Amino acid sequence: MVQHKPRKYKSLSKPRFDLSTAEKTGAYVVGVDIGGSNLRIALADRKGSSLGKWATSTKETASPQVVISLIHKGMHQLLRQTAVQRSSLRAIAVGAPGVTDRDTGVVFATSYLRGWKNVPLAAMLQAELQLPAVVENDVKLAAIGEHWAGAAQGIPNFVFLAIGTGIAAGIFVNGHLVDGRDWIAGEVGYLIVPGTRETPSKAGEPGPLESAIGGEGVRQQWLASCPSDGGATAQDLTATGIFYHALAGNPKAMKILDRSARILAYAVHNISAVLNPSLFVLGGGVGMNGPLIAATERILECYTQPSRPQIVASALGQDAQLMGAIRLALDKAESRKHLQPAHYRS
Amino acid sequence: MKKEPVLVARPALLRQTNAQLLLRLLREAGPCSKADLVRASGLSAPTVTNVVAHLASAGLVEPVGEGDSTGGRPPDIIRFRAERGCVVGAEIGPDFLRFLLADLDGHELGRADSAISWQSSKPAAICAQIAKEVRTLLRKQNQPEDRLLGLIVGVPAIVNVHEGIVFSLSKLKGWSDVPLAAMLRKEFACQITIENDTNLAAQGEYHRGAAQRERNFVFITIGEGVGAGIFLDGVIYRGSQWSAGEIGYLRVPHISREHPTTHGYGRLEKVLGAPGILRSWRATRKRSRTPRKVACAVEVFDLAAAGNAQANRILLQRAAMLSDVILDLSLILNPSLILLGGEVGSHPRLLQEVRAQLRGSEFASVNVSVAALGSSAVLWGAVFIAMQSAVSSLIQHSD
Repeated sequence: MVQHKPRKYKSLSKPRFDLSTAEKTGAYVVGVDIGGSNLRIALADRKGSSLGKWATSTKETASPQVVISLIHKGMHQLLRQTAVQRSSLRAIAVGAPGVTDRDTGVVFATSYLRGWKNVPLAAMLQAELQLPAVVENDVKLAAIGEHWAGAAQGIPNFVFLAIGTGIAAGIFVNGHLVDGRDWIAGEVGYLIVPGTRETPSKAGEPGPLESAIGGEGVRQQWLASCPSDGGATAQDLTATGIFYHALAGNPKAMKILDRSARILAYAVHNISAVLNPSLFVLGGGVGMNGPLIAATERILECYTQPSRPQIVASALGQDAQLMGAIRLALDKAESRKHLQPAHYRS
Repeated sequence: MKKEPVLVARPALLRQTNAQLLLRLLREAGPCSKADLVRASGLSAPTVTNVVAHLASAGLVEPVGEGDSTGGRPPDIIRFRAERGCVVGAEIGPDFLRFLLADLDGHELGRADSAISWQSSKPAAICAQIAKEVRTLLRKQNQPEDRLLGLIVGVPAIVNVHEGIVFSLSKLKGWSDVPLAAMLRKEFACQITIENDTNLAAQGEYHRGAAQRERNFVFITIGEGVGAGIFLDGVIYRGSQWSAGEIGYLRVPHISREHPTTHGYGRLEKVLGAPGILRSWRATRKRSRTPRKVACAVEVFDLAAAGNAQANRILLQRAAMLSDVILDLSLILNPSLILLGGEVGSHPRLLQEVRAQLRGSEFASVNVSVAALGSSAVLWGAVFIAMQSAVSSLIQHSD
């Protein structure tokens, strides 16, 4: 029975949720991001506020079964940590690093990092956790996160471009994600633009755009350009580090930064010519790099036709996927009462 | 648990939806009885009676006498009054105006073509020419002007469809930020819409061409210019500043770097479009000892199909570029179908070569085929949009 207090005792300055008492029997959801090397889990209330997070390395674990038991373990630790009851969990949403059918919850294929094929992840999760489960591509989840709580709030047409080791886009059109006929809309790592390799990639290989400006591709160019004379630290540099070296005046790094920015500008321009979005939100370790964004913006200033693309860094950073997962889990919990949110499908 | 408010359709909205449904059934099946409509629509008999009365008051349906009795009172047969009004689809080309007059069921009533010259291509002159041609067409088909319910004009330019403004049209004189809808409203009292020509052509292919029932497809046109119309979930997608599908500006490999300029053609368009093909052919002729004159780009592709090696080289280059464009579009949108249109784009030899080049690519497992409506696609798209909005507004205004 809910006790109705007189209105006058309500104070606006009080925290909205008292974590110690009644709210804990309310509704909660779990959001999960299966990254290339880390598994991250968040527990959130029905407003989407995160109560706690848990992370572990997945570097050595390739099998879906192991990942699911890690999720199980993390979920229970979070429940203990936050004193939330198991019975008050309503749904779980998981971001997978690969082509994913959101309707059936099957992960068709993951990137060359992991090598999953046709994994019925939602069904496996549901069986293991006894919880309504939904699975979505991780980059699309990040786009959902940015749309809900990040740099693209209130923007119906935008492109979230994730540039890390791989490259992919989450595309919003008229406020909905574009999925395409085979759920591969936004696989822009395989785009061919001037300056990239011009032969299409084979399955399981990084795409031309990925090879050119993805984290590993940039590192390979750096290694090729400074054979052993740079010392151990130079050999260990990541793409981000290389771009900061460019900012500090290193000529080889400057050349790589300039080339990366030019190719990224071509990719942004081409996607913009097709979709004319209001905004590009750049995410991922490489995509959020300040020197790269600044250099790309300078090049895009010349590309005013048919419309000048606007680019910004992700506002949620590495939390974008988790926020998207929380949003999708909330939608899943809601869908048991209402209709599913509409998405574009063939 | 808190109860969420349930959205209830207002009676007027519900009646409009039902009216659209019954009209569609009447148009598809031809004249039939109310009982047939009840069966086919799943609506209740009183609802059908109510909606039919509403449609009759809007002049959209009428009884046509009694049908055959199956024992009992013979049923009243009703039909859709396609002659309730007419619509005109118009197309402004680089050197022509085209018109298609149709009734509310999309039956062609008449056509008109006229040439435009650069000297008399200013917005006011084109506007006057459109008005004159439309009036002549109506008169020839015995359609009084007050029966004209909609005029939709397709232009080869980026268009602000809400405000009816044409941003820029390089082939005509003084066409920059032209409020074409407002100008035409001074001539005609009907609904007027201005739209990008490629978007209309995509609509045409969707309604009566090669993309029927395809809810996600891209229509690529290659003629004088290059552009795309993008259909997502059954509606055209125009982008944030109306420039979605302007693929003439795409940067693909094999084309030297040069910035696209205002009012000018994009990079890809310069090479892939008809003028670019002719330019390549002329460059080849200068070098070769067997000069041969061609009148248009299509002839170059015809020569390629007939075995001319130089023409074939030009065609193969274009096919490679077009394959890259299709690959990029597939990666971004993953559509179910890519339709090639325009006099260059729909050349069978080009399609054959593009299909061959895409065969090896994992990500371009998209269906590529040729548009069905040829040079009428823009006009048919315009007519269908005009029909739909004319019927909707008749239903609404009689509420």
